[in-house]
Amino acid sequence: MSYFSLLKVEQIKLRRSHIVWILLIPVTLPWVMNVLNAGIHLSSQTISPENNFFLQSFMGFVWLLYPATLVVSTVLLTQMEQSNRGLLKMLSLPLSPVKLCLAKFTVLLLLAALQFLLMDLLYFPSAWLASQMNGYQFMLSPLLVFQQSGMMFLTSLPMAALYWMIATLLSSPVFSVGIGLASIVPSVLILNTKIWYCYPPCYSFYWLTQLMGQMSDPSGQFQFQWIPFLPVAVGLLAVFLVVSCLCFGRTERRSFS
Amino acid sequence: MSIFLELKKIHRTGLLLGILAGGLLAAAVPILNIAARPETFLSMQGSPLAILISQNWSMLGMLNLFYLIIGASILYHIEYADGAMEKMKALPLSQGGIFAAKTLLLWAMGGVVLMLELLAIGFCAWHWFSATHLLLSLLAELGFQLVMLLPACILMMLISSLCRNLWVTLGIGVILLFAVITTNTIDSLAVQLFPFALSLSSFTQANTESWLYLAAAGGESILFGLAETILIPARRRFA
Repeated sequence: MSYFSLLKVEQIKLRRSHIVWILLIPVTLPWVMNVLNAGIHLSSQTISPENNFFLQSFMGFVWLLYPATLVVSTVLLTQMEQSNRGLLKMLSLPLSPVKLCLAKFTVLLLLAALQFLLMDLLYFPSAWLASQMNGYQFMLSPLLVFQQSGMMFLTSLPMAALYWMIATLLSSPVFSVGIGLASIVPSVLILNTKIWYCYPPCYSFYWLTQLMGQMSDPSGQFQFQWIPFLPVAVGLLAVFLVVSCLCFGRTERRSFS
Repeated sequence: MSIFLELKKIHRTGLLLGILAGGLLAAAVPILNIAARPETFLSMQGSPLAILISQNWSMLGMLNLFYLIIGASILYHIEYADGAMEKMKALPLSQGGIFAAKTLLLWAMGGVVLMLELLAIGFCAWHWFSATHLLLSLLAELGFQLVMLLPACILMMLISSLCRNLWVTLGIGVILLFAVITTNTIDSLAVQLFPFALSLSSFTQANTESWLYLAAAGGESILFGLAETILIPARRRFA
């Protein structure tokens, strides 16, 4: 079976779960809250209201909701196979487990990209509504919105790979979900340390804070340090993917050998 | 009796170990927080416990709620995973009793985590602030937090008992938690009294209004408990 037909199979499986409906709530929630409270951005001193409107919604999303929904999605992708011994049956078919693992990871990324896309698409009606309600133009240029959310998505790839690796390594959902969700909380602390680039769950949030710093002080330069970050992030991404591909279906193989 | 049975069931899921590890992790948060910047903490105004709790509880409360969400999801997931629920319905077991036993177990696990966290906070107060006679105020905080945790426990178990799929329960829990965290910044008492938001408040900060928090927690617990007793026969009819 080719990689693309595996991808198609995964998508069919996904259609029967109700995950897309669950993912819709987290992306609407930040905007609803933000539109209702849009007035408070007008009084902000350091950062212009339209920038703040954009940043505040994405902050809640990138800091907590997005990592949490990634964890939930990994549970979905692994549990779907564990019920009724689905993975065992898949492994007995003439297909490469590595390809299957990568196809599932791609589905995880597609779900993640879908969330960012929905966040972007909801930005425009929300900004319009907030502008109408407050008599202030909250709309930013679509290019900036897509560019910045695209970068947040790209910087989140190592985190997605980390959660996927944890989900494939640990067959018990208690630990995979526990580690995933618990890793979200300290990212606020690690963000402010010098070794933030060693902790994948804070990458997108770090990007956002740097963007915020730049927006509040337009004369200052965008202080995103690529150099220790990029090699470390790419290296970690590769390590996580290789480990998850090697360990994919390990418990299923072991239990019947 | 049936609470011991539930304890036995979760033995193999690793939940007990996970909760213990999670509790230790949460206990490390206040210690690391103060160890990293002791001057900032020591220069603040107020009693040692008030400082430590106000600086750490937003994180600890969030961790507690995360553990609660996972625990609740797993406790019913083990019944749904291999159709055990159907078998249990055929046995002379009361569904309400099972629910109560599971909820109590979850509450007790939350209590263990809270105890570890407050021990760590007590340690910080003793070590860095050289505070003494902490026991009574720590016990008061523990009791308060236990009551605050109860409505969230019952609500999460209610959701978990209704949803067949693990990810649906987890997803709803995470969304509720996020909704509470984003609204919690609004300075209104009504918002602070939502079931999940209660766990983010603390006894030292609530002081004069603490009876209101306790009353809200009690009322919500009764409400969700009643909801479950109504939903059990309904679930039986439609599932």
